[in-house]
Amino acid sequence: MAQLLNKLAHAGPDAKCYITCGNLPATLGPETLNQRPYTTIRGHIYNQQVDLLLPDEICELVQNRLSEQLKPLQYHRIFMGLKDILEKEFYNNYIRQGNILLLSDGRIDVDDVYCLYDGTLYLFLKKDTYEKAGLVGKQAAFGGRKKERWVIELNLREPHMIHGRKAFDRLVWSFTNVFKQQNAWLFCDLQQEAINPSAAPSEPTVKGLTLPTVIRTITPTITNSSTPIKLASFAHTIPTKDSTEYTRTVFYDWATSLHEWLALVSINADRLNITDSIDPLLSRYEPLTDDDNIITSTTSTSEYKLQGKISKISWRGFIPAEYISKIFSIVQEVVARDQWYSITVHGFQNAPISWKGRQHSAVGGGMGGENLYTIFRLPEGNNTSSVGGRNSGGDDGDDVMGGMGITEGVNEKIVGSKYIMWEVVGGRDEFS
Amino acid sequence: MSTSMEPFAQSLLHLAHPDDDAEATRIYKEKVAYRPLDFRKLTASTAKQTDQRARRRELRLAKKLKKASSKPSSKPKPLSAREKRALGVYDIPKEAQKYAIYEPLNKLWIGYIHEILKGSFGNNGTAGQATAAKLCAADFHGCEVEVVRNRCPSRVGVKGIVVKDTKMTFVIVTKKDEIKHIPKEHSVFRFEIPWPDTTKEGAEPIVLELHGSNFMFRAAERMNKKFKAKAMDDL
Repeated sequence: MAQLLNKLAHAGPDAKCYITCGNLPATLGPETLNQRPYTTIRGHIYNQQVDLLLPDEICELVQNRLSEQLKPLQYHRIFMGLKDILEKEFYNNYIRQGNILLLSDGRIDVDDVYCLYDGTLYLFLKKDTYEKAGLVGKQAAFGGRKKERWVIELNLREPHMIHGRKAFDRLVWSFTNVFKQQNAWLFCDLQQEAINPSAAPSEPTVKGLTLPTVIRTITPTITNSSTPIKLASFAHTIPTKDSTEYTRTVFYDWATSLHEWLALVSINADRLNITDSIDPLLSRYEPLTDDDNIITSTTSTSEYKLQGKISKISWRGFIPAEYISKIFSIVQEVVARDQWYSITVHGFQNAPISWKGRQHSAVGGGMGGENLYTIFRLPEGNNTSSVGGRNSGGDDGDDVMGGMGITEGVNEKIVGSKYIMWEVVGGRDEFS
Repeated sequence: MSTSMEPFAQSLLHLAHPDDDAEATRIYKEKVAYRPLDFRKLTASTAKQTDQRARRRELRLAKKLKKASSKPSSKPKPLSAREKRALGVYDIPKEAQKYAIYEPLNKLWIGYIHEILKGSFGNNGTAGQATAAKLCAADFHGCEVEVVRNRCPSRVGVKGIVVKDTKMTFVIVTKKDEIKHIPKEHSVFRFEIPWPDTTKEGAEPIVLELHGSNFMFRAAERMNKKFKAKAMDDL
């Protein structure tokens, strides 16, 4: 009995946080795109919110550059059935020639959810819908022992997927006879100007649809903090490949605390307010401090050593990874090396796919389901003092928890700034 | 008396009873004329089956016969399942696998189901427990069914007329003149009953779904079977 209770209490594994640190490439090239953190950014397909945190003094600069170089992103909320995807006009325009991102409405643990990216349509179905569909699929990763959920993966760009071919006609038959209901979808054309500057100006309508669509435009909202808040100290030793287990553990503790601080900043928490006075019985939260390495920003009447203003620029909506990649590279260019910034990207809770096309489970019910990542660039000249003899010369290899790092060349001369990346992954997600 | 017209057996008897014509005729009429002669028994004894299963079956049949009467039966034994399979007794020949052949059967079935269900459907197609019981006991040979749900994706959407209803499967003939064996287990079948011509013009047919998993009985056994209302279990 006790065992059973124990089992129930820990039904699902806890969410995991993977911490990666390394050097950002100094120059952007095609080869750097295959390195972290770029692979993570591009691999996380369905994103609903991007928060960019910056020190207040560089906010205006970044903001100006962003509005100069970044066009507002457009996406649509549309109503259509699965059949409409295969209609000639829509299919030829957006799947054969163009590139779109689609995500249907619904909860991934109880509803049928469909999504499309890169020309591949994924149907995440309940068992009974799957058995009615008449299309070959696979058991989903989160179907449980009773095989309650199934995935049908259809690459619509394959050469045989043409009107009139047998496999295609079967799809049409299934979508007209079985999947009759209309769904709400989010639609984003990846060939629009905001992502691909060479593309033709995007039209405000979606071609080949009968029902009217709702167009939305994503523009960043900027929140400047009115009062200075408690800053965390960013100084810490970054472990290398040959660091001891102890140094690593200390580093992970530190990184987790830093992540917590970033999260508190992004929600503008009261605990970070300089004038905040909370009973220590209720909260004993203190931002990270580093007593050995005193960095004074403003030592005024306040008893708190580090304080400053922080601004937040955030985007909300249906944001494709390509757009985030653009934001990231612009910010990376603009922000000077002695300044810090952090980008937090929240994935869709009900996106069936995240983390490089791997399946994603629902939130809650012991299933995990978190999918968000934060990239934090450390200010230069800040942490080097505490690195000491541990990091020798240019041999600043990446250190990755979970062993998924990239090995950087030893004799690389120009080394970019250091970054830390946190990837919060649901305990049961396929991303391991 | 013309002996040349006589059957061979009778003339033989006349030779055996040269003095008594009446006796020979009597024996012929009582013992020989119109008596079946079993050829099978002769061949069965020569072809010995050495298979375990066949031996068990022979033993079982012998035991059964012993109980019924002490005399060994002269009747031929029924074919075993294996023999039936080897002979293809129940196979539908290629020339009979035509949808057009079974279309009249389908019409006949519709008439039959109308007869059974007479008056049990309301005007708007509502029906009660009694209708369900009648449908359960009904014969489905000739019904046009469509597979709407199955564990095997390629079987979904198959549509045709039932030509054979075995315990575990429906055998149907599709419009493309193909024979398909569809297992009842893990499938849901859909069939339509059009309204009789007399009711009203252009009425939508009654569409019913049949859960094959709960229908795994022989057509003949099903007649007297009581079906209980069950919760919709998972396939």
